[in-house]
Amino acid sequence: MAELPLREPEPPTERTERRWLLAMCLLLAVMLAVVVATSLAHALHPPSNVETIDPLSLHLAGEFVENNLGAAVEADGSVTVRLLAQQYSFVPNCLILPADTPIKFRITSPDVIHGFLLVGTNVNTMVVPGFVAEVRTRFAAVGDYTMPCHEYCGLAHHDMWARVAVVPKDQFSQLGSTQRRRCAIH
Amino acid sequence: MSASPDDSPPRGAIIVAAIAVGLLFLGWLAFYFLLFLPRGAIG
Repeated sequence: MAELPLREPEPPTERTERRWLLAMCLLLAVMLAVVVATSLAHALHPPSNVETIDPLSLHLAGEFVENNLGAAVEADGSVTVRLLAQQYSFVPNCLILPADTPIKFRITSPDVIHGFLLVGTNVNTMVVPGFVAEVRTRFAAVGDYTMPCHEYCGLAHHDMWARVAVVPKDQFSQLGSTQRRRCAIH
Repeated sequence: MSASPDDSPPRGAIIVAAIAVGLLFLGWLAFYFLLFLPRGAIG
């Protein structure tokens, strides 16, 4: 009967490397658990909405006609904001929104790709012609937010930005639909 | 038989690597909980 070859003892360096690998796997597991737990607790997820629209006729009929743009209060008390991003402005370029209220932004573009970002928040998405981008959020604090286009869209891209004024809920409810586009009253 | 230098784990390297990884992990936690989450939920 042939003797089995003796197994050489494991060098201490290999044991150390295995422990290090285990520690790093545990660290990654902790990071993943933190992300998953907070995402579930806060209902966080990247904006995802696949909805098409004809960029050539969106200004003629449908929800993005000019007099339907801006903030609209829904039956459940939430607010839907409809915006157009076009070279080189947002329409409307000034919004008044309520604090501590579910807000849904619906944005589209009739010309080229634009970016939609509210500085100081996690609201951030691309606006692609032919699609309606949708982002839901809630402003915890009253204040002013700038809304620059963050996708290069042409020569005057740097001048394309808008303003969002977040006011207390009761102050917002006293405003008419046209007043919600006038940030000067804030 | 005397132990060769390869038989002992590289303690200095482990300490340096552990401190570096620990600092990175703390930085990640700080960014996530103190910067990302307070900027509000999106969906």
